[in-house]
Amino acid sequence: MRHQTKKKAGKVITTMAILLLGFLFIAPLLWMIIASLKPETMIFKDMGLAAFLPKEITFSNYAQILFSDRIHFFHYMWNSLFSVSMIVIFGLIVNSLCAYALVKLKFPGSDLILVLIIALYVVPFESMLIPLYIVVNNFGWINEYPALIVPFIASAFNIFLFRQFFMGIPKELEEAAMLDGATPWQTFWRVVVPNSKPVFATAAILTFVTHWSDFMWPLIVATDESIRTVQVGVQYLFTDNNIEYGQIMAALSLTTIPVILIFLFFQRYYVQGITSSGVKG
Amino acid sequence: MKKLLVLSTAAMLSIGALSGCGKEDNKSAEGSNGETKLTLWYPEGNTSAAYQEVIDAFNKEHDGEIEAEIEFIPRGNKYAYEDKISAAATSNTLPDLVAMDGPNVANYADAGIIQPIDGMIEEQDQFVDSVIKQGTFEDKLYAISPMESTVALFYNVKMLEEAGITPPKTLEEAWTWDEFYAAAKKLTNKEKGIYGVNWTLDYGEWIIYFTGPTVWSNGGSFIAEDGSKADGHVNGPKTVEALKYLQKFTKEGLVNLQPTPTEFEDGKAAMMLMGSWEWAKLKDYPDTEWGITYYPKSPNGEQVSPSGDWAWGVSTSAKDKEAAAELLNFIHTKENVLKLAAVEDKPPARTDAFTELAEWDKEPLNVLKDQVLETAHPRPLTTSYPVLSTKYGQAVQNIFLGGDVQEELDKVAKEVDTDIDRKN
Amino acid sequence: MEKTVTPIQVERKTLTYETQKRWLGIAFSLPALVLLFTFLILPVMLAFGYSFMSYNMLNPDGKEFTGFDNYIRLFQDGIFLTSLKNTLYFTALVVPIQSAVALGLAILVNKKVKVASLGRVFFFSPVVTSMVVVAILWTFLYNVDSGLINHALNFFGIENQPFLLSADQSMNSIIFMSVWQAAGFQMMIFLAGLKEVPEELYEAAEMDGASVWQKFRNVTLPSISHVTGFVLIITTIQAFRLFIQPYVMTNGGPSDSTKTLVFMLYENGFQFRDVGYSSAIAVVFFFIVLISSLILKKILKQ
Repeated sequence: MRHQTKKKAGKVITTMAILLLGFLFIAPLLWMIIASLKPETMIFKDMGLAAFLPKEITFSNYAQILFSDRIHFFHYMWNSLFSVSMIVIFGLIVNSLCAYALVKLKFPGSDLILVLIIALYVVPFESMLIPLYIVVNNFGWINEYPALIVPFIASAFNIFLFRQFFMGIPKELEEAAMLDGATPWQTFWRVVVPNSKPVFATAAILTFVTHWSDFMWPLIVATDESIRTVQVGVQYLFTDNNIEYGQIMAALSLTTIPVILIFLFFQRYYVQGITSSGVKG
Repeated sequence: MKKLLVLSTAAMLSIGALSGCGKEDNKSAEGSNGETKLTLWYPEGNTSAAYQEVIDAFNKEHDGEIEAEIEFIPRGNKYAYEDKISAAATSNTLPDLVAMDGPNVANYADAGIIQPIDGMIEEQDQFVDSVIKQGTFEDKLYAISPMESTVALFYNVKMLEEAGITPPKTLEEAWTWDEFYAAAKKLTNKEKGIYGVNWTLDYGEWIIYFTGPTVWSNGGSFIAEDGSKADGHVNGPKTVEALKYLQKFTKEGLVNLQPTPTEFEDGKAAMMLMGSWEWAKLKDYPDTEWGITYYPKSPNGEQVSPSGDWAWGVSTSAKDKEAAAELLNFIHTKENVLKLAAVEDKPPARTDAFTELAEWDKEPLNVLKDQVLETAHPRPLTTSYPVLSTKYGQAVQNIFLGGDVQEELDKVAKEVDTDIDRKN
Repeated sequence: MEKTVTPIQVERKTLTYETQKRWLGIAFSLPALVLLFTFLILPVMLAFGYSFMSYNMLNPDGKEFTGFDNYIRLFQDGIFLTSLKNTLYFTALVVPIQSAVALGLAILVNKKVKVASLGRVFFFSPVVTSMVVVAILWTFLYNVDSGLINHALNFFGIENQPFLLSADQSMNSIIFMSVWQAAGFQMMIFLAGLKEVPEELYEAAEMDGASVWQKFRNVTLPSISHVTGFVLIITTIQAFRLFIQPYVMTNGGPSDSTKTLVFMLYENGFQFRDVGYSSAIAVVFFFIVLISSLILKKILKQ
């Protein structure tokens, strides 16, 4: 009985902590959404706590973005969704396979390759922008989808991440599969993948977020209206002068929605991993 | 395994197909009946729609001969547009006509990415001096722009009336430094949280653009006339004096160092040093009465105002120079200049265009017209401009926060001179 | 890809499990390695070459070999030392703080309470919020006169602090904000790690009457050590790459107090279009980070 109440108290404290801390983290996102619903002239009028309490709500900022004849917001959104999804899907396959090979299917030179991959993560993208542009230009991909997708499928970060988690998979699980006569491919597909759902979800979320917010690269390789991404698209709002902050906030709110949805979608894979399911299996 | 292979092969193929059809589209657009194709880059903004109309009209007029296509490049909040040009230059993928901010002309011309357009411009004498000066490098014209810009002192009419301050109405009467400082001091009300002046402290090109006239008006400069040396100019006594004057405002709290973007509009600042484009924005606030007066002048010199807008140049990768000239002239006809300038109430860069605009003869826009026609000063022409503008901007930032003026400007001179030496 | 796989399928019966493993290992890693080579190693090699050249971005045909000139200039450049110092300071503080905060948040949202999944969204939200909005808001929060943080300090009797406007406080202000913004990223990695910790271990510890701290110390930490090591290395590398926050919030100032190595690299490469010098910074940066990561790895092993 006492144990029960103690547990209950713990739950209440945890709940309170999450909600209180959570507000500190979500406040800017909240402010952005609230600001997007305010008339332009009201946005910066009060920057205290009152900034979170709109006196007047308007959807005109959204209307101006969604029904503009100058920009094609839905089209940009589609371009971003398409290219980033491609990066995520192919990235998950290519990088997890590579990590699995490096950790579990050791072949000559695999250790050296691993070190090299981790070292590559160190290179800041800013220093590669121009050389990478030259490479991609040689493929003739300027203003075409592959320029947005192909260079980012293989990722040193993701290989390293997968490697770290695959290492934690108990040998016994694989040995059991092997004794059942499974090929290494079957072992990967039937043992490793199902037991690594959380790390696949993490890799998917982090990859999606990283490339969803990319701006510099898409701007340089893809300015053509037909493949412009949403991050580049909303930059039209940042003109030299007379910036309309209400519209900016509305546009940024809209671009945040897909990321939150993706996040919620992958959350359900945060189930208890390895041992519980492994033991059952 | 097989499934995966099929899947990934299919995907690779689909990516290839996507790129393939992109290419075909380009080819078919490239004029089937031998017409010249011209491409243009311009920063995305409120004028985009008007520009598109101008280009459409041009294509209609030259149907079957020349076809122009304009691409609007997002500007980002800093130098994204310039970065895009750099990337294109380094892989020879520049468009035929490229728009650039005025001070970049020297840098681009020197690197050989734009070519001279001497003698190609019709009615060149109609363009205001500042535009021609800004577009000229080593005695050759490289760029021209349909519009101009300037910075003036905007004010809240009611606040100035209440304080008993009458702002000047003619160019001759423009406030001197002391008068401007006195007004700002009187208008600052710390209890009410009202600042005398608002000026933006953005980190891009703005700092050198808006502080320039203070320096020039005092007889100072940023760099030697021939662009060979910054030492003794950007850190010369006249320039130092000018920045010490501006520093007084921040030191004494007459200017908010961290203002909201709409501090002036919200009635939290009485005056604002801002670009001419601000007038269009103030129309969103019809309940307050707004006025404009001249950029204040140094007691030691003439009134000076800043200038410069997006200018057009012809890139060196343009093959058909004649067609490019045709298009350049089409953009800069009086009618089109008027059309483009009207979008954001920008001052046109042609004197004959001004005569059509009756509104610019009346208060308060006459202030902007006077400045553009009489006192506009282009930013320095030097191949080291990017270094100068960036380092000067950072130095002024430090000066406004209380840094030593001479010391900060000495550092700028050193950096710029290193850059000049390296380029020669 | 198909070529390497087909023989395996044909000869499956004759191949031992071990040989099969080796061939599959190569086949599995090949797509990633080919892509990495083309889009990462090749550009890096190009950049390495440029670091020995004088190369104006606008004039690629005019580039010429200048030997070690860029490196000599770099080691004489006062801003390089300042940037290096700032970057090291940022990294040294951000890595432990951010990792600890991230682990704390991960443990919190790994608890079986109803609001846990909501908490994940909340804590992760700064990662997805546009830097534009983040910069605007934090500049207001840090405002010397009217910022909410100063209001809060006043409440405790502390006078107004200049934060971003002071060379002494600007880097600390950026550190605080960065931890807030990026902790959600590491939280997700920790969370995936925590999901691997078998429930049974906690149950066993509870049977032994272990306190919350003891459970953390003796069960959680040892079970996720491989994840912790990963997070520390990743965070270190990311911290070294600090650029966007000072770029939009302080422009490297005041008095270069928030100028970092990547900031310097970007400024020289793009704003000043000096590709050669920028590449030399990148090469030196690469070795500094690599050595730091290796040292960190050594420490972690012990």
